[in-house]
Amino acid sequence: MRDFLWKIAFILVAAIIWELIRLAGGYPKLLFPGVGSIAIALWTERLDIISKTLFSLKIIGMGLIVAIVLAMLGTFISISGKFFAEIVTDLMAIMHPLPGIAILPVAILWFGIGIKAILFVIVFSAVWPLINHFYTGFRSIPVNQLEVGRNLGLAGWELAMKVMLPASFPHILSGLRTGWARAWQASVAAELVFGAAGGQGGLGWYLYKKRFMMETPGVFAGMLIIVLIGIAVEYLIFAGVEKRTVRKWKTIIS
Amino acid sequence: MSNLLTVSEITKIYESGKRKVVGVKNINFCVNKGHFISIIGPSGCGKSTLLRCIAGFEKTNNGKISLNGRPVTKPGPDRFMIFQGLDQLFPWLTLKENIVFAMRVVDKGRENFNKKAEAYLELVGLEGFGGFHPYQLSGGMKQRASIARALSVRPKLLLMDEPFGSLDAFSRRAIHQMFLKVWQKTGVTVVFVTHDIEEAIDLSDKILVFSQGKLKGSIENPLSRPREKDIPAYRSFLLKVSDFLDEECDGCLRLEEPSTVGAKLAF
Amino acid sequence: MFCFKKQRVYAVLLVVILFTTIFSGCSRKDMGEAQVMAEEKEKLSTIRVAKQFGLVYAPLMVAEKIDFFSKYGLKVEWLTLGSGGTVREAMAANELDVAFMGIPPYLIGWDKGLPAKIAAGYCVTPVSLVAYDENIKTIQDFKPEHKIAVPSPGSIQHILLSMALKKRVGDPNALDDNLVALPHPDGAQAMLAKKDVVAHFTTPPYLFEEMEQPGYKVVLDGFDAFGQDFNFNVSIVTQSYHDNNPQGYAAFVQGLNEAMNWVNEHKEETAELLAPEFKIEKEKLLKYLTAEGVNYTTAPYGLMGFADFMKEAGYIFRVPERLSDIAWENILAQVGKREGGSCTLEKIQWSK
Repeated sequence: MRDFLWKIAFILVAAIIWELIRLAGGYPKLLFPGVGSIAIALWTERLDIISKTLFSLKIIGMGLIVAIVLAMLGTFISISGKFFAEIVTDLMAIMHPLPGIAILPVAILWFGIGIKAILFVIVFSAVWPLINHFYTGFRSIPVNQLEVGRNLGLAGWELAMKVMLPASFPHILSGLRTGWARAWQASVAAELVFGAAGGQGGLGWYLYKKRFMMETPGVFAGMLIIVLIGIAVEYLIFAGVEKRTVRKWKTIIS
Repeated sequence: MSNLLTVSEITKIYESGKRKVVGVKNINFCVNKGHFISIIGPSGCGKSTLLRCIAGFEKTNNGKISLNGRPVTKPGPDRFMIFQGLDQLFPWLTLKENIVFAMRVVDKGRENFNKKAEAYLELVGLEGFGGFHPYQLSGGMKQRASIARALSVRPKLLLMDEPFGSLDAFSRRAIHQMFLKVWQKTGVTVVFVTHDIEEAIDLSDKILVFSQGKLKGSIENPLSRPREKDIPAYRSFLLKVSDFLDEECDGCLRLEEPSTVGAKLAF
Repeated sequence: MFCFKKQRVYAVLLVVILFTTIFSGCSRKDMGEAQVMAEEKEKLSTIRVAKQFGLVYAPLMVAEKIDFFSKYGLKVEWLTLGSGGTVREAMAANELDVAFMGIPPYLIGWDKGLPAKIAAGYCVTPVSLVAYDENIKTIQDFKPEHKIAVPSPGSIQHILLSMALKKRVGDPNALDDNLVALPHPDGAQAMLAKKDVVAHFTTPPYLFEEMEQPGYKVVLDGFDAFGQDFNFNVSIVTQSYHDNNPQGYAAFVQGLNEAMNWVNEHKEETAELLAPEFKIEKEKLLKYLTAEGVNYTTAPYGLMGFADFMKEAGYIFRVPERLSDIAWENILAQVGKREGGSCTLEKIQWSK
């Protein structure tokens, strides 16, 4: 929480510096909108921003769920045999460095223009870091804990859910963190590059529209919301989960 | 006296690439119900391998293992293993939850898990520690909790792979006394692997001596319980076992079996 | 309360110092007057122009290839930029002196204080909404599931569609949820593949290509929507270039006029010259260059006609009161100012 307050304080200080520079430099509103005009844009556009934010969160949520399921399947397959492990690690090595946005053209060819293409980009961006972390997590489970599970008669899916999942939770959590961040970036980037289809769009589309309407304060307002959501998810969700799990269990070095 | 565990003609060979390493070869022995058997021998003599075969973690290449007349094919809660490593408790659960978890998995219909878990914790001298997470405990306490968890699923056979090997001398002495009491109280059959001759003498009814993957001999323990260390009978038995070991295992140092390296890492 | 750790305070200070140095470095106020003068003088002979690609830019491409500017002592720096949005941003940041864009995107920039005015009209060319679905004959026939491709929000195509919707349906935003922002080539590709979109608001050559397909028809003609002819693009020049480089400005306008005229008088040579650039056959290009409705001209058409509608529909917040608010003096001189009622040239600056 203290960290959270610190971040807020940092933003306030940054806003003051911003305003000072703007006033000192005499920059036009077009390039360097004042904090006040950004605040006004935030307020007058609040309904639009809220609906765009909800849309972004919805589509990222959907994408993340699909990516998590795929990553789990991929991980289970890869730990079930050396042959699959090699395929998955090779695929990961090839796909992981590829930015999700780079496959947008392919996504449009396959899924057309619309939500499906953006979803595909989100899933693609999130799934590789997820598999990477899940796989590392599963590989680093202490042998003794696995064998206790097997000794109790657990096998297959049950062993995975009851023992492997919690035992690799520190890695899973950092995977989810990376996955979330990449999904969030991908959704904004995809919409910024290619816009939105049929009136539906998230914050990326909001930025795109504001940019084309040359409403610079609106662009900054959208960016501010993107940053704030990033901070909120980190501090209100991930830090909370971490405190209740891996920090409580001391399975990570804090 | 009834025969609980029968091991006949067990052979286990590890293959790593083209190299073949003999784990154990043509092992035969029986364990009576309620008995406490120790297996001793130098590192890499195959004693852990044998234990893992009995537990069902390893497939044997030849021979038969049966418990109460039924062949062993896969791991199961009727033969519960306790490892040397201090990481065998699930870190995301408290001690009580660890035990309840085990009971729930094995015996779905049973109730009063919480109460029973507390009773098992009391049995190993951990009353009041049920709400602690593993990281909050000393090594000795962790091993006690592991024993409590193992007993909670009411196994017929406890397989112990140097369970006290990572503990300091003081914790070891205390845990020995506790464990003997628990053994007598529960009547569980124990197969105990160690490379510490004194530990084997202190605890067990019979000592099996292993070397180079082979069973070299079986020595009945003549000492009565509770065992006193400062009597001549103890010292002469200790001498007898040591001599036997020296004779059988002269210069027989080998590499560790590959499969147990991970499990033996001390934390 | 939380404590400010020493390192953090240092870190913030460092950021402050960095910010201030970076931005004060950019500030022209800090530069000496003489230095600015010297810099402007040096710029006299050069002009930075955003290069664009498309049939409508044929005169610009010819001007680059044949070089109509150097004889006036003008050196053109051709810059390739991405979308129309980038072009406007580059002008606002004074990275660019001249750009070509539709009147509505210019008005959006002007509304927000983009310091630039129109220096020349740039061509009159058909702009039409094409559809292939036989059930779609007019703009009233679109259903919610029908997607319509336009190049971007606020583009001339988007505004024309809104104007037509206001006239015929009463609501300029009636089809906003149907719109998809797609650059012309992507839109044309989607149309030809009959995938994702059922209609495309576009210009030549994409318009011609789509119309060559059986069953593709014009649902809305841009001139009908506007009420008369209008410049598809206008050439805009920044205030600072116009004020500081009058010779360069004059040279650019005259060079552009020459290029425009050369294209009109040499369509075959133009086709030959540009066919490799467009990667189509010379004959096809000639056909496009001579198609009905295509008019290569620098005359101003309909400059004031979009503003009222755009303000009413909420795209801009103010309208230019007189032509001089948005056009430089050469345009004003061409249009003239007839005493006792507007002349034809004055009238055609407004939509009907």
